[in-house]
Amino acid sequence: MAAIIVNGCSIATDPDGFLKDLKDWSPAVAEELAAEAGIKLSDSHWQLIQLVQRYYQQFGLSPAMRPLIKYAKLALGDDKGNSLYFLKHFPGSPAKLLSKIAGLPRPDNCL
Amino acid sequence: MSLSFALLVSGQPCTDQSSLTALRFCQAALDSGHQIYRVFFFNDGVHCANRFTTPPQDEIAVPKQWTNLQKTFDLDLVVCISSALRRGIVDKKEAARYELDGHNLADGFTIGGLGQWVDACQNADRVIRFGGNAQ
Amino acid sequence: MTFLYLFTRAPYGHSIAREALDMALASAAFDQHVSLVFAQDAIYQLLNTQDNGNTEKKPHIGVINALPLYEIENIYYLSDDCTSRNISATNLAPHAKALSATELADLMRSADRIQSF
Repeated sequence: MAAIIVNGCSIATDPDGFLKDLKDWSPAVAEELAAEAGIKLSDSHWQLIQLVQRYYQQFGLSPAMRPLIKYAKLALGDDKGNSLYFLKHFPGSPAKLLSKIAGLPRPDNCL
Repeated sequence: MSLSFALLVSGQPCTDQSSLTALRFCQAALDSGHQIYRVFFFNDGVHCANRFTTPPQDEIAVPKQWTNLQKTFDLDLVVCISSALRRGIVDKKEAARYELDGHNLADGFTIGGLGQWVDACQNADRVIRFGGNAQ
Repeated sequence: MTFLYLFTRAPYGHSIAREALDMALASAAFDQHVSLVFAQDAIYQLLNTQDNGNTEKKPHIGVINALPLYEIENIYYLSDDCTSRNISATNLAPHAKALSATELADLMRSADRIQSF
């Protein structure tokens, strides 16, 4: 079984690196999940992580890209509410990667 | 005039007659020279794709019938992934992804997203749903 | 293409209410023009006073509140359902609009695809 090591503890993930148990999430776990994706978390990364966590609390959904961008536009303004800004911080599939690092449920429609 | 049909199957095959009706509709439409653009299995309809379905020998196994029809007419049978995962219908790939100890998707079906249904709605001439709102 | 979803089920009690709403989200995500009508018991899906506490299901109103983010702006309920169920429109999601039966008929006439769940 796949796992990451955080502060000496082994934390189970699925083969794609999503947490098996969402209760395992902590900021230190997020740092490690990001490191696995080659990302060093800065303040601006954390701002987006907190944004998707708020999104999840508010709607009960792991975000898809387009609604997430719209949400970011409303919350953080046009400078940050665009896909380039998200791609710069979380390359590839920003919504999916952010869900993983922020400890949100794996989107159930992702093939 | 020949038409193409998109079918949404949302009824549980043991509980609900609708999936068998859908099957018969497919057969009749194809026999009359129409096309089936895609059959999309959604909500409880995903149980139609469970190859472990084992009714008594003198009853019909719905998944087997779909598999046979698919083979004959090369049908596009797509099972909604989010409906399927909730109900324990998985192919080999999903079983590996979720570390499950088996897979049960019947031959002839593929697992796909809701986008496949949206595409079918856009491109087929007619859209029909089998499996009503049982209250 | 114009997709009209006609919902008739209460939010909790059967999975179709939630799964059909996911289908509507997918239609919007794939650039279709989507309208949603919450008719009959589906009007309860729009209640912002709904309490899912004992259902062990996620709050349905969360998805309802996310609809504008998916560019789904046409969200309707029927005035008659409000009256017959003694629901005050002030308790419904603020982005939902009332329709009369005639307006519903017009909406249905103008849709390319109608699906009811």
